[in-house]
Amino acid sequence: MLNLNNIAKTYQTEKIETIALKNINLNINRGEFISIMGPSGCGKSTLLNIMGLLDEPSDGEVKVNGKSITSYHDKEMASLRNSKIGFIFQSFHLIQDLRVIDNVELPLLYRKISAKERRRLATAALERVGLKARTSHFPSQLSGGQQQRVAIARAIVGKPELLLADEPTGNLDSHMGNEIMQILESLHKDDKTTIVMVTHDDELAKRTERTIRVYDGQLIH
Amino acid sequence: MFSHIAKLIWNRKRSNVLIITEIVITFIVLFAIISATLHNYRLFNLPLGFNWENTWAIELNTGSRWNNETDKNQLKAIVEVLKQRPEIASVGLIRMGVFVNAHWRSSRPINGRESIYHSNMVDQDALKNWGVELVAGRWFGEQDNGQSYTEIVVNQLFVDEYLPDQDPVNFEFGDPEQPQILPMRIVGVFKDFRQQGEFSVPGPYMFTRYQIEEGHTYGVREINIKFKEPKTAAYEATLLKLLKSIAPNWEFNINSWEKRREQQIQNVVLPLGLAAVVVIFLLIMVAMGLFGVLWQNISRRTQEIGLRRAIGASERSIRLQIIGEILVLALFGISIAFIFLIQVPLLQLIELVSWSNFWFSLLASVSTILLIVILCALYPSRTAIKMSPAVALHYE
Ligand SMILES: Nc1ncnc2c1ncn2[C@@H]1O[C@H](COP(=O)(O)OP(=O)(O)OP(=O)(O)O)[C@@H](O)[C@H]1O
Ligand SMILES: [Mg+2]
Repeated sequence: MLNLNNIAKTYQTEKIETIALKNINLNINRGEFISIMGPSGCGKSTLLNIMGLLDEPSDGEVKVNGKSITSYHDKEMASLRNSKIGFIFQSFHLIQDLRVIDNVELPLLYRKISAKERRRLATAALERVGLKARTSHFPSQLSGGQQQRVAIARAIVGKPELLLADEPTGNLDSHMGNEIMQILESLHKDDKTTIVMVTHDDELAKRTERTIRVYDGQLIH
Repeated sequence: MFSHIAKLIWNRKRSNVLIITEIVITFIVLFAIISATLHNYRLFNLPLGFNWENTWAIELNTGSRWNNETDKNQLKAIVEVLKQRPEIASVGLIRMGVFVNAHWRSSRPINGRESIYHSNMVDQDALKNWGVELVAGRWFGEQDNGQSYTEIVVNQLFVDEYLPDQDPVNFEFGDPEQPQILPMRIVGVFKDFRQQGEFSVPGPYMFTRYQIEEGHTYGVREINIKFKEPKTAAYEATLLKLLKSIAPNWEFNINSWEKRREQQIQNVVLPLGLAAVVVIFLLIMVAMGLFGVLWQNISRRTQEIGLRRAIGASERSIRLQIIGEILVLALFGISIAFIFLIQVPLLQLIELVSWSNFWFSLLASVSTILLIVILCALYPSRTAIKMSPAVALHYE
């Protein structure tokens, strides 16, 4: 469902040019649960961002469901991000001024969905991550694990085909990390969601179907 | 989307109250200065009613008490001498001079209704010589001497206000409280004479005739001389010497109408200019306040924009959201200010604010505030919107 062909990414800062990724070829198939591992700074996040259409590659081609997105404009990209992809960040990125339920509804705001339906879907997503009782809290009133579960609810509320998680357990202790992992596993098993997860944790990586190793901006096999 | 914006505003109410307060204050001050400027601009463009060019006013200080013999003769002598000077086109006497802030309000019932007007006193030919336009009847003249009425001329506004359905010429009205005084008779109607200058509000105006011969105790205070050619300030000394030679015991203060007019314009324009500076300062404060409150946490805001784009908001919908947020705030502030401002014309708190002035000033203030507020909201977000979501999300 997602193909990366000859992807390269370089960051141009004032003086130096950082090569974050080079020569990446990768196919993600529907229904897979993949983990990405590698040392810090090797380009894992960069890779995930390109998969999630959050960043443009400097070179190469990204195909979503067989279609190259190179020529897509902002509106088409926004619509793809909104409908096909759910993203979970290491640092949650919840909007502090919005209640839990409103944070979860956020992606649906950019679709043509009635307010009532939005509320129904968001409540269901929160139920899925076991946070139904916290809908009217503000993020600051929740623990880190709870916040990450809100973020997961937000990522899955629009029923994306592809769920991308960048160190979703990185800021959590192992107990809470395990809870998050269980949610992801159930989304994979029960909902057939395709999941790509960046992790530093070998144990978590072992629980996925395939592990991709990145070293110095390249895939190693 | 609207309820989403409403939620955001409500949840950020603490900082938003500050913005709204700033908007309310700025809006009111902005409105005040726009309406004051508009009001004065309109007044300035109304006809003055007389020509002020090449005319000098000699203010008289005749000492403690008017002596009907010596002072009268002195005044007569001065007028005679001045009239004979080749450089002088005309000499006119007036009680309250032009472009000064002195006026005399008087009232008397006309057709059973109390009329209020400004009253002044000039000699027979002064108005004609100053270019005042006669629209009906005639100026005062010798034929009015010794009649059983006091001859007056009034301006068109006087007629419009108090004698709308009547031929004003030869209309007489007395003072019922003082039946021993002669009734007034309108012998002529002139277009206007805005004695207090271009920024004065036109209103009913009346002139009675001054005759040196009759020697009113409160007589005239000014001799106005119109020159054939423009005169420089150097002429003042010549003139003063001439006057002193006739009336050594009097004090004279000489001023050109032009200078008085300039002074008067300055008196209005200067405060308006200062107020404008204050408004600009306030507008900057609002802009800074908006920048401050919306962007005090620029990294948080940038991250929020990154997040919204990451989950599928287009650049356009983000701009709309930002504008929507600020518009709601601005309209809220404007509405509060409006509730205060509408009282002015409603209750006629300040006569100067007519309805048309009110609506125009309102429109102008609203557009200014909205423009500033939208620019202030959009400007800082433009880079955040153009960043890739990945970069915006990690903006520090
Ligand atoms: N916005 C940026 N500007 C410049 N260089 C960047 C930027 N983002 C990442 N890089 C560089 O690209 C390289 C890869 O970064 P990336 O964040 O993908 O690493 P990572 O594998 O996710 O590391 P970690 O495990 O610490 O999260 C690093 O050398 C990093 O310094
Ligand atoms: Mg990373």
